[in-house]
Amino acid sequence: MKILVVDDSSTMRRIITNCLKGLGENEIIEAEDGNVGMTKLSENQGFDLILTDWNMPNMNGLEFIKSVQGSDHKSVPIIMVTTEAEKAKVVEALKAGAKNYVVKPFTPEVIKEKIKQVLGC
Amino acid sequence: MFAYILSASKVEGNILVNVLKKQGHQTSQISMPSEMDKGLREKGDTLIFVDWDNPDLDRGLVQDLGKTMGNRLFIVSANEAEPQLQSIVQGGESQFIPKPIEPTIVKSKVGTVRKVMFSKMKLDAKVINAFIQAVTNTYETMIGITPKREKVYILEPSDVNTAADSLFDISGVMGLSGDYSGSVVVSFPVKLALKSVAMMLGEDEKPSLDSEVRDCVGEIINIVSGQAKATLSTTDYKFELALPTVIVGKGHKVHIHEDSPTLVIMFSTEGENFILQVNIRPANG
Repeated sequence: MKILVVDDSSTMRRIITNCLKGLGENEIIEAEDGNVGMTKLSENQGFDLILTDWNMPNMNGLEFIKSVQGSDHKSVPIIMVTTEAEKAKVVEALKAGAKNYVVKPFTPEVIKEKIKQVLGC
Repeated sequence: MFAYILSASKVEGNILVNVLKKQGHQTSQISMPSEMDKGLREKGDTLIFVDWDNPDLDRGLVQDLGKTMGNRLFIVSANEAEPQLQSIVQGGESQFIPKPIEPTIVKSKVGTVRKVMFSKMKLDAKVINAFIQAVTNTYETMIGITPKREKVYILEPSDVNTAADSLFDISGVMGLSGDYSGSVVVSFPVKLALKSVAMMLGEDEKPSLDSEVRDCVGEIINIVSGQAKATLSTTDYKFELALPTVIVGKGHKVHIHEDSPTLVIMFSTEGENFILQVNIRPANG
């Protein structure tokens, strides 16, 4: 799978990437905010999955999800991975177009399970 | 804290304003008690300075204020022996400031009141528990170890940034805003920061506090703050989080609200201590 990981923290991008590599995924592209995420989407076609943080500078995760929904990449499923844990936030993200939601802190097993739920694999 | 200065002359009022502002207080000079905002006047940390010698002053009102304000009422006068003044000061906790006003006396008396106030201040157990849980959960989930809670205490503002165990070598700082504002800090000694980062990433320990280590500490405070925020979202303690910042270097300081208690929770893990520091107050306080 080709996966886009969007988070302003290089640590979190590394942790998520390591989780994905542990699942056997190796085609992982990183972006440090939503703006860069949109650029990466247009520069690299054929993404199968996006994982995005919420609180980022320039373009935050919610704005990024909405942007993706309004683009040619709207069919790519998005999982929000964030510290925002309140129910209202989860609902907001899902309404914007996220297919699933992971609250930090998380274990690799949680990421694996959420991907499975989204992709049915 | 907020301070009203009632019925003072311009010169004396300015002396009081200057001293109080240097101590970090907001001030308002008024000529009538009716000019005081009811909410502010009834707030538990508002101070009132009254010029007793002003002939237009309603001294009966000052008597009433003395009963409710206690040591937060300061009566300024050239005549300490005046019987009605004496009855207010000796009958309660109200404080006397002699004229001509000496800034050092004002500073000392206000400082004593602040010390007493802070010694009585407690942080709601909900806040304490939410942050303890957040640190423990973050460490257990992302780093794989359970930190031990060593001690929990409140620091007076003058001790924050100076106490021996306040901040270590690298601190992640999160600003809070909204109904409640302030800051949350997680602070590590170098060795523990390097060890925690290595365990979090599942990689070899870095030799120094490089950009990746700093980013990781920023992410730790981000996750801890987010967890606490979520736990407290069903209580009165609602706040939003800023983007985290990281400060490196011995002796670094973090700005705090000086009229709010600072909670310090010391944890130990892997043979070393780290601390969580929380300074929080109502946004309109």
